[in-house]
Amino acid sequence: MEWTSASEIGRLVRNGERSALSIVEAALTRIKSVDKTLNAFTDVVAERARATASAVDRARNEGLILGPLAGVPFAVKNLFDVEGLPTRAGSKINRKHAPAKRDATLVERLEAAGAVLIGALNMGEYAYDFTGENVHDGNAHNPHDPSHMTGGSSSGSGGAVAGGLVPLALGSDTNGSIRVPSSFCGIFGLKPTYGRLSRARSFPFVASFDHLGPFARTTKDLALAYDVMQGPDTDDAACADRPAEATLPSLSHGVEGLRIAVAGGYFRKGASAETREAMEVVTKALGITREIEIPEAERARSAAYVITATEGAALHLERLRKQARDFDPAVRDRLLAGAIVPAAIVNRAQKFRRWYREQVLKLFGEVDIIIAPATSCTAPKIGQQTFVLDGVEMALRPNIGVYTQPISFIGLPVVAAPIPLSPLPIAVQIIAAPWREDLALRVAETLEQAGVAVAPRPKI
Amino acid sequence: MTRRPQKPRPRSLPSRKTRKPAKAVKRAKPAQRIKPGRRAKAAAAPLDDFIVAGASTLGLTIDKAWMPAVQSHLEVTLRHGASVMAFALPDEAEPAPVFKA
Repeated sequence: MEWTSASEIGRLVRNGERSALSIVEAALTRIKSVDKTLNAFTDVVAERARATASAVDRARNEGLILGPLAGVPFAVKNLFDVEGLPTRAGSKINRKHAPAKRDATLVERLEAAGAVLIGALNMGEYAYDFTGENVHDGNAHNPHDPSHMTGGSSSGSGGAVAGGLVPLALGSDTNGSIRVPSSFCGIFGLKPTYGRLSRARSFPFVASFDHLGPFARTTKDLALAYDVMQGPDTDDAACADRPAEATLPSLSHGVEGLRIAVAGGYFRKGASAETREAMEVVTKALGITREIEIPEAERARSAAYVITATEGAALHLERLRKQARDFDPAVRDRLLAGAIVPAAIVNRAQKFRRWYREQVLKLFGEVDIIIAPATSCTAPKIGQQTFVLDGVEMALRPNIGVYTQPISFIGLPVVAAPIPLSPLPIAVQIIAAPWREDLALRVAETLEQAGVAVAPRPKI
Repeated sequence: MTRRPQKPRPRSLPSRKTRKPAKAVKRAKPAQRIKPGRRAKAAAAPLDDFIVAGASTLGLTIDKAWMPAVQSHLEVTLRHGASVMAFALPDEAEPAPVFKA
């Protein structure tokens, strides 16, 4: 069952061909054997999962209508509140917090659709990470080659889905933390429009940019999960007061009539041979002939960098004062630097952000979808400190998100679609205008049906 | 009140009136070169002072061993900041998060 999709599990459970409990037991067994290698899970809530699954089975036996995700095991990055667990957010400090009293909104919504929470997942400390390395909980390992990074900061989410431990996981994306692990682990990920999915009862990082979203091994599973999680939530000030807009009904409508372009300029700089190959494969498959330049993308990345450093530092200031030694040094030193950046620079970055948004939205008058690389390389080796980007050797950790940051900076919806290159996969970003997740998912589904975007099965 | 944003111009460019003719610029003596190590030290010292003063103001304690990494991160962040500051925007430009009552 490890490679069965969420939509297929839901069908099997609804039809009574499999019990939800048997699905959950199979997932727990696989986690026990494979997670020794992957280190994707930090908490497994086996008893809770068994109880939830049994409730799903009981509901079916009583003739109740089950949700689309009935019996689907899922797990969440450990910055989501899970009732009864301290929300550690990848840190040593937060694990001493009191256990959460209530699940995060998105956990509640997935369970309301029949899904079964099975555990919490490893992540980079306080989400300030692109590598998947964690000094407190150990590094997450890439299922395609455990000596390589999963990417971060939703490292366990990437490893758990790619490794067949769960068909569905949730993560967060501030600057690329859904799209980077999707790329390195070869799975599908959706970073929705800023404000689309509630962040209530999740631990923040940079409120201006924080998004939550799903990971899966198929586009259909992404759409299923996304559809049941939408809707306003007064518990999140940034959550849009906007009704749910289902994407599943139009998923198989194809790309006919869609105006699709590839991102040129900045998004061609620094690309490895693998990145270029993935872009060529997708460009050819979609018959794209148009290249478009996202204006000032490099400066947008700079502005995102500044806002991240300073908002992140402001969030953690008290902890930096009192518990600096309890941080991962790689995170602490970046936050300390961010704390003392002059406010005028931050203000200008926020002004630039509005200007940049207006320019990029104009592009969506000309095209519906922009394709860009997700990462400039495939998964680096764990422990690697530097990489070569555009001919310059630079620190790896802060620079993996060069292609993702200019997009999340203005909250555009993006599907990361995996291209199964050998030996390691890599993803492309399918970028749409705000609130048009349906279009990005349609393009991903088209690529998946054509066999171009596929989540490869690792040999573990 | 919306004014068209101007294209970014390098801040260091002198105005037309004060700009030297091209020849003069060519003939100007190159600035005295500092050896790379010394230059790094010279640049690092004021930044170190800034870090110490900033940290102290905010009640942060920075261990001496952490300073090279903090300084390096700050340099990178300020470099990104300089790129943002070099982009001309009108005074009326609103920052992205605008409070609505």
